[in-house]
This record gives sequence, C-alpha cells and structure tokens, in this order.
Amino acid sequence: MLTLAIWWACIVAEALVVFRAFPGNLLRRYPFFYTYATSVLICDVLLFAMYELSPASYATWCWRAEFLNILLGCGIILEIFKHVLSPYPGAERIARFAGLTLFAAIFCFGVFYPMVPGALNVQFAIGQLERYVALERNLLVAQAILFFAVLAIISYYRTVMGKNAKGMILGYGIWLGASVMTLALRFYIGRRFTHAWNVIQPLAYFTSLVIWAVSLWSYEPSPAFDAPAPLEMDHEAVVATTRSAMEAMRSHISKVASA
Amino acid sequence: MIQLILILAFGALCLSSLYFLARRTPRAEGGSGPLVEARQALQALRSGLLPPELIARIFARADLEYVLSEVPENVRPLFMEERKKIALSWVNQVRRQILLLRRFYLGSARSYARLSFRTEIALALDFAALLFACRALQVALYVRGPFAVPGMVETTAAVAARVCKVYEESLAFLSPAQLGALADRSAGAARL
Repeated sequence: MLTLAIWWACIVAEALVVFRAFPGNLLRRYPFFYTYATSVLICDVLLFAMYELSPASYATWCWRAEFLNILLGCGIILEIFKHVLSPYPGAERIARFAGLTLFAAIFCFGVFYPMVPGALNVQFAIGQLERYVALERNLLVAQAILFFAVLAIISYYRTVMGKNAKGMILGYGIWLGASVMTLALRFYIGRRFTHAWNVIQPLAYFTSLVIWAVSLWSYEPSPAFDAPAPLEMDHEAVVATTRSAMEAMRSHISKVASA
Repeated sequence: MIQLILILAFGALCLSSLYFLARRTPRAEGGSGPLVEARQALQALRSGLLPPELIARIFARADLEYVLSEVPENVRPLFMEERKKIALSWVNQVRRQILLLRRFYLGSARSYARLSFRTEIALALDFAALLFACRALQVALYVRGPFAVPGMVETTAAVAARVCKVYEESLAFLSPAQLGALADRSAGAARL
C-alpha cells in the first residue's frame, strides 16, 4: 500500500516537473534532462497500467524501462557539462579528460574482468532477479563514479552554478547515491531486503523529484561568468611560478618531516 | 562483503559531497576579485605574518626562559596558554592566506583552455601538502606547546615566505593605485 502511494506521488511529481518545463521554455534549454524526465514519466504511467492489468509482464518491462532510464540519466551529466562547466574551459577540459579516462577504465574492467577465472561463477549461480539487480547496481556505480568526479572538479575549481543546474545535480545525486547503496544491500542481503528496498529507493526518487520541481520551477541560469581581469602574464607563467614555489616547498616540507 | 562496504562507502561519500555542494553559496566569482585578494594575501603574509622579527617574537625561547626563572609559578600556565593562542592564530592566518593564493591560482586555471591534467594533479597535491604541513604545525603547537617545535615553525615560515616572493613577482604589475581601483570594482560587483 505504501509502495503504491509513493508510486502515485512520484507520477504526480514527474508530471509536475515535465509540465512546468513548458511555461519557461525549459525543454529547449535542458533537452537531455527533459528527455530523461519525460521518459521516466511515460515509463511510470505505462508500468502502472501494466501492473494493474497484466502483472505477469510487468516484471520484464519494469527492468527494461529501468535500464532505458539509466542510459538516459547520463544526459544529466551532459547538462552539467553544458551549463556548469562550459563557461570555464580549463575546468571543462579537466572534467572531459577525467570522464574519458574513467570511462575507458570502466570499459576495460567490464571487458577484462569476466576473463578472470572464476569471476562469473557467482553471477551464474544466482537467479535472474539477482542478475538484474547486480547489472543495475554495476551500471549505477559506473555512472556514480563519473558523476562524483565531475562534482569534485566543480567543487575544486569553484565554478558557479544557477538554481536549475544545482537542483539537477542535487536531485540526481540523491537518487544515484541512494540507489547504489540500496542495490548493493539488496544484492548482498537478498530477498529479505526487498521490502525495505521497495520503499527506500522510491522515497529517494520522490525526494529527487521534489528537488527538481522546486529548482526547475522557472528558468534560472548560472550567473554570467565575469572574465578574469587582464593579466600581464598568461596562465603558463602562473603555472611556472606556482610550480617553482611548490618545488621549493616540497624540499622544505621533507626537511620538516625529517626534523 | 568488501564489495558491499566499498559501494556503501562510495554512496555515502556521494551523498555527503552533495550536502557540501548544497551549502555552497552561489557567489559569482571571477573578474578582479581573486586577483585583489591574492595581492592582499601576499601583503598580509609579507608584512603582517612572516617578518622574521615577528616570528622570533612569537616563538622567542628567551621569553620562556625569563618566565621560568623570574615570574611566579602561578603566572607560568597563563603565559603558556596565551602564547599558544597567539601561535595557533598565527598559523591559522598563514593557512588562510595560502588558501587565498590557491584560489587565485584556480581562478586563473579554470579559464585556461589548454590546461594540462598532469600539471593540475601535481599542483593540487602540492597545495594539499603545504596546507597539510600547516595543519600538522597547528596540531604540534596545540599538543606540545609554542616552544616545542622551533625548527618546524622556521621551516614553514621560510617556505611560505618563498611562495610569497614568487607570487609577488607574478603580481608585481599590480600597483597600489590599480589595486584600489580593482578592489572598488569587485566590491561594486559583489553589491550587485
């Protein structure tokens, strides 16, 4: 009953998020985010109808919809690049490099890990539901690693973001963090955790939807970035001077450590 | 089990970083603000915090010897307590000014399109090491008192002074008149 109530509340909140996009023309401004939001709304409505009319086929379609939305959720990271990092070419370059490196590392892990003898024994020994849970957890962990790296770069370079972008990040981050944790617990504890999982994950998602509804109520872009004051030296000179200072420091610090 | 712990720890890290992100004030940065702050941080370090005579005064062993030999016993803890507070406050100020210098560096770096990933990682680690050294000094002063780590104080001060010298050369073009104008401009922008 509680799960159904949360489900209903999520559908209402999703509809609110999507329909609020029309007055402020947010669909055009955040196309990847609204593709994701529209997809989850359509999937939820169809799945709800399927749950009522044909429960047997619900389970299969539920996982398909879940994987489609995980894929579309990557669009939120693209929105972060577009709206938060693009005014800062240096920070964007570092984020892009970190993203590609992480993607390559995760891809290599995904390709080579199954070749390790015995690595897949556990996967074959478990049931289909557990296999779906493990796959969803792995996909979300990969996405969370990328999301966290981008977040770390945003914090380190202190890039400024508007209410819309901040809300997108907070909402998606809460859902992602909670999902990764609950899926890991579900996989480890097993069916005994299913009841708690069916409540915690939708509640986290509902929290995200509320954050999105509030932060994307109207268009509030990131504040315009004031270009740096003209310096008589370029950034390479700043790097060179900082590096030489740091090298001096390093030798002093090692002296301190050995004192 | 290890996999579960790692994933839970990572999830918790993600959620806690969101908390700090939410708390961050949406302050429009850029422009001349960090440049002015960097110049002011340098001035504070060079003239206010790092002159050798000031450091020698705060950590003067002669004061301790005088208090130990000439002052009544009940006054000694008070002296030690006060001197410790001053020493801790000094390290705290040095650390804060170094943070401002880092902010200036990052302000320059984030807009530079040809940034090198390796350089950025190396500098981030170096800044972290210096800030850690300041923290270690704070802990040492707190635990062992202001007169127990003279070598560490001298070295940290020398390091910070060298950093200042390098940065001062970098910002030499900014005359006091320009600095005033930039400060006014950034104050005006902040009011807006």
